[in-house]
Amino acid sequence: MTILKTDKLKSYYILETLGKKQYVKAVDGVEMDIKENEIYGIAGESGCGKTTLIKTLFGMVEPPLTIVEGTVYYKINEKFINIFSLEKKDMRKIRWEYISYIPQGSMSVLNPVTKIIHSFEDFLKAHKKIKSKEEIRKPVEEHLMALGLPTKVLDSYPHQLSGGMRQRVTVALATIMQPKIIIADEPTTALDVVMQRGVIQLLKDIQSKQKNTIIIVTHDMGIHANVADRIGIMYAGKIIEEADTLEIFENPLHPYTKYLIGSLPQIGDKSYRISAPGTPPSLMNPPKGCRFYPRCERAMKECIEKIPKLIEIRPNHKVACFLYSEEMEE
Amino acid sequence: MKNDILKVNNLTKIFRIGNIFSRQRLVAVDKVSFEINQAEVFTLAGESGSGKTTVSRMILGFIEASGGEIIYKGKSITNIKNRKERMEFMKDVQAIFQNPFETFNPLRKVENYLYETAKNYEMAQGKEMDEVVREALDAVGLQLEDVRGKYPSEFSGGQLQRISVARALITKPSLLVADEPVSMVDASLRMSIVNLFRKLKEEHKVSVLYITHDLATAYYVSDKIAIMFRGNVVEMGNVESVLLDPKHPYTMMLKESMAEADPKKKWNKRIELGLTEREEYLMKGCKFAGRCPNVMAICRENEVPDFKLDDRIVKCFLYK
Repeated sequence: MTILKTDKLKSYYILETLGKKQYVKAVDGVEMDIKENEIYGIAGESGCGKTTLIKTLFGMVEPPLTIVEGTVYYKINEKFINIFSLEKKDMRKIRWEYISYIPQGSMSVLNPVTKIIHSFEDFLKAHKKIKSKEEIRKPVEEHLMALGLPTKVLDSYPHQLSGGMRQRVTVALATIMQPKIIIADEPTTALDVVMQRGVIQLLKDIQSKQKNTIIIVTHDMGIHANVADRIGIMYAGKIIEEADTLEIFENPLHPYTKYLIGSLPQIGDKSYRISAPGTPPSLMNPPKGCRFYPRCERAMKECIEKIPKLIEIRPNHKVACFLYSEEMEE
Repeated sequence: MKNDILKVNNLTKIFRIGNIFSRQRLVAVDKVSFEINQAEVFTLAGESGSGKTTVSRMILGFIEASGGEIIYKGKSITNIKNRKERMEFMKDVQAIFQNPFETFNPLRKVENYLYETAKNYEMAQGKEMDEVVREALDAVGLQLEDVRGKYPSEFSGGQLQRISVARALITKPSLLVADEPVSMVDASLRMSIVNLFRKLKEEHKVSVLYITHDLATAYYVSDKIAIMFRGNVVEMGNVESVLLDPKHPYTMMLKESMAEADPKKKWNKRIELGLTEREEYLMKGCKFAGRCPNVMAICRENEVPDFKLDDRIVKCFLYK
């Protein structure tokens, strides 16, 4: 059962200097189909367009970011709705109540000069008709207790909490309206291992209680291995491989995915590992054919000119590479 | 024969926190001792707020130690006042920092950093300078031509981090102090940095003090490891024995919390998250008592001594 889908989505940053337009092709023809109640992981290097993709999925498209082609559909009341055709006020209603977003870097989410409870107040007042402060405090406390967070954080300022606690408060804030879809952008980056574990534990708890769909973006394959049901590998604005988590780890097909999986060190194994050679391409001026060919050791002639298409070559396993199929994008 | 190049004895750092009315002493680093041998990668691991960065800053001389001593190549460097000696020490011990985008000034060309280091430490003069820089870049797999004339924004994080390793290598140091060198680098490029440390150790006999919270790369690269928790080294020994068969309950939890890149080894246990850092620092006995599954009455009251267990040291009453 699909809950969110995109249709050849292209969202570019259009920069104009002295009348000359430049395009940063951050999301370049992405087709996604997210199922109800699944945890979908998006993996890729920094600067591959992950954050732009989820901003677009969340409908946060403001210049210079522009939708060039395609659109995003949410399934609301059994109907697919094109979110970019909605009025601003309808979109505002959907946001947080239907779909919510956990941004990266919790320090900049919570207002540093007010207590945490005020952030919750601001948030709830915008969505519910609430008059007194007491009316707010009770459901917030219940929500925090259900998530196993101490309620005393409500009377603290953000700087008094540790990074991990702040991030968990942000997660609590994003899920208080019980949204159907949660988008988490690098929720564990900049936290140490124990705190990462805490945040992921919390997200999984929420998912098992509220039965929501989670789209989690991170470059940490360890996190994906632990939480995601399905993974999409993103490279230079495109999804280049997509499969169930176990399949991605055990049987990666795309040369880039192979590097990504093969370079992960593991305790108990000291054998030599290498990362992909070279550096990620610039999205302003990506290679003409397959985006990965300059770094690929199996690059062929057609890779230079033509762009491989993401196609299903095995049940539930899609890959965009000429090694497996000759189909290309127009 | 002893071939330790750096020896740290009972190193302590006390910060005073609070205002004028309620002063508290926070022992950020509590009698930490370890030694690093030649051509050895030594890892200090622990979560944030465990004091591992404070240890490295004391070794580098950025902050003064409150107690204990640091012995480098047989000489105490705890309080070098002499400028010449200081320079010599700095030439031999170089640092690599966490965030490569902050290491380099965005408005200056990166090559300046390389040439300036060569000039400040009088490694070469005139035309020979190019040669020194070229050699250092070569060790990290970069060409001088790739770097010349470029600003930090023109490189990826992984490349910049490699350049900062190259900069550190210009003085031909015996010890590199690398504070979380890969945590800001993409997972896909991480191994290029970590492999560099392995290569430097094997080919150039450089020792590395590797500070990290990532146990997987620590296992991959290091010979010995010390696990820190709230200012104490709670377990120290060979990396294989400590990480494959951890003895201290904290090391076990740290290993358990790691997200292993293997979907077949998903987390199944739940973990306890601690009080705030400050509360744990101010605890009387074992700092881990609040979260430890095996906590005993003795742990909460008494300071824990080090216990020797085979080839390692464990700070836990379970092994009395």
